[in-house]
Amino acid sequence: MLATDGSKDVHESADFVIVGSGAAGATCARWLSAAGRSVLVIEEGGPARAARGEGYEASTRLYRNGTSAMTWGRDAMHILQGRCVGGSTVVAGAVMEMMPHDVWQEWVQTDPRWEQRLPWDDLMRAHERMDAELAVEKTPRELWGEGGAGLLRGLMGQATPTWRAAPGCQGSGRCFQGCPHGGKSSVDVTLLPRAEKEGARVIPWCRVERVEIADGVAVAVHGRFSAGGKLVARAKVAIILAASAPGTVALLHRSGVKNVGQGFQVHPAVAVAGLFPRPMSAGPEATHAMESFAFRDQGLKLESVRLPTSSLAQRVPGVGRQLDQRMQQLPFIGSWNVLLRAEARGRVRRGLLGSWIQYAPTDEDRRKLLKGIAILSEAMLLDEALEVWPGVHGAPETITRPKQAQDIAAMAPQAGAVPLWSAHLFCGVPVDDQFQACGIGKLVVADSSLFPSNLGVAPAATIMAVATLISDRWGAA
Amino acid sequence: MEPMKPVFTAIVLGWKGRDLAKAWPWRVRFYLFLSRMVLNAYALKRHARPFSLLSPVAREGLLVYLSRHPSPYVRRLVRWWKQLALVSAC
Ligand SMILES: Cc1cc2nc3c(=O)[nH]c(=O)nc-3n(C[C@H](O)[C@H](O)[C@H](O)COP(=O)(O)OP(=O)(O)OC[C@H]3O[C@@H](n4cnc5c(N)ncnc54)[C@H](O)[C@@H]3O)c2cc1C
Ligand code: SF4
Repeated sequence: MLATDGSKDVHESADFVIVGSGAAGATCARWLSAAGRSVLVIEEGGPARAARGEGYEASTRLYRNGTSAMTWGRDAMHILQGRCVGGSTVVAGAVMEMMPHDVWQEWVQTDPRWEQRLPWDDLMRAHERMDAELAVEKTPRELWGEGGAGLLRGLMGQATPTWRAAPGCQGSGRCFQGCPHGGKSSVDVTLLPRAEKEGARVIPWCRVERVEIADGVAVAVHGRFSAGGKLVARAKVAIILAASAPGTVALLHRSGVKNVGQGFQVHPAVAVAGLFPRPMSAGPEATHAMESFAFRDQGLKLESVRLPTSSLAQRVPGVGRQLDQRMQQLPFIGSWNVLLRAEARGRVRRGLLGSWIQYAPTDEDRRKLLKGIAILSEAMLLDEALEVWPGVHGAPETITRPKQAQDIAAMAPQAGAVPLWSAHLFCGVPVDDQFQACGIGKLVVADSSLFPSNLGVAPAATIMAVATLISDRWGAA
Repeated sequence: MEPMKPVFTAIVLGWKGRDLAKAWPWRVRFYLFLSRMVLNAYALKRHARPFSLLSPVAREGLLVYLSRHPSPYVRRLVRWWKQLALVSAC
């Protein structure tokens, strides 16, 4: 890491200046430095390892806006994003799954140029390379825990163990606070140190405020350290934006680029929790041990999730005494997620207090989410849950019979009826065949801001495969 | 004193809290300030007093009412306070 306390102004230059040190930025740093290029990675957050503590410290030190960001609109969706060296990979569940072939085909059908930009075979090769780099493995039986095994039983065998980049996982279920055991291959402990060994330099605590564009070509980035100093970093070959979707769009807005951010999409999630007759957190369990794509034709993905106390308690209904009573039973509470390949498009907008996201699912999206909640609720009851809390406004707070679960699927869709959250974001920023954004030379976008649509699966593996192809091309250029 | 304390202690009994002002970004604190104004407006409307002067039972009752409110905007506030209260309590 660059030795500066950030209080003085700094001028730097490198072949490639990369904004953001998460999945996309670290992948680019890894492969560009391996190709012998000089690389500078600029990161708004601080080093992650120092902050691997309990919920409060983790949320304020590792996350953007202390986990409290929300979209605007009646369906207000909670947005979770990392903000530290390693980006969201530090707090991610480490599930690695490549985009399905039919989603890629959809991209190609919408715009045939995607076939040259991201040839499927090259993507798969890049994906295999990243899997080897991060030691991706199938979750072993001993880390399924009650939640994973329960999802498998509740869905009558229609679930499979996840593939995760966590070769040293001990099943603490604390991925969302950063792994306390160093068991996860987050990029701060894998790709970034390897890039640094090849000469890359990482500058933490520096927020890039704008990209300097002269005569239609990006030449430098201007940033500010949290300690007050300024940074000007010039790029000899290109500036790579990997500040996440929608962080990259916000940066484009601040740099004077117009007409970006209209294609915002998410892979929203809803939690269903239930009270079981057996302890749900007794043995080890990986954060996401089991998943099901049995309902992928309806855009649904179902997954088990083991959570730390503060996150699990958020899924328990009630406030005050009612919440307190239920919290006494916390070890017996389990929770699963339903995620949707939502079709709605929102917009990243520029406002007085910074960028904000306008987003509302379509009625079809809402209907599908209700269906997913109903499936999970029924699965929990089948797995002997004593009561299930579907969290749907207008439905009973507690359900105990499968018929009540089925009734949820039949409810009329309503705005804001279910609490949504998402950490899988896409922006549809227009790029050319060199991944240069919005017709600006040497301004490359390498994160999921360039994805034209929602993948319907966890995005990190695809983000890394795409960033690998982008780095291979620019590294060889 | 942490200005959100009356709200957070009504949501999570025994919430001790931390020095939130230092940790949350100014934007979050600004929205919290605005959200407290909404809460106080409801407290005045239903109990003719600001939220911090209500009894613990009345505070809890008001929060339960708001968490089931027909408006998704109001429900979302309670969801947000609950999230922040739990994260900062643990
Ligand atoms: C809680 C959580 C769980 C997740 N679980 C999974 C999972 O199991 N599997 C999966 O595939 N995906 C998961 N994801 C999503 C996945 O981690 C992200 O999609 C992926 O990391 C995005 O990569 P990125 O490089 O685009 O952005 P990030 O990894 O978010 O990195 C962007 C970085 O850029 C920095 N940055 C932003 N703006 C600026 C600026 N102006 N100047 C300097 N730096 C800036 C940010 O601080 C951040 O560190 C999860 C995400 C979260 C938050
Ligand atoms: S489940 Fe626990 S041990 Fe496993 S990777 Fe996540 S935080 Fe680390």
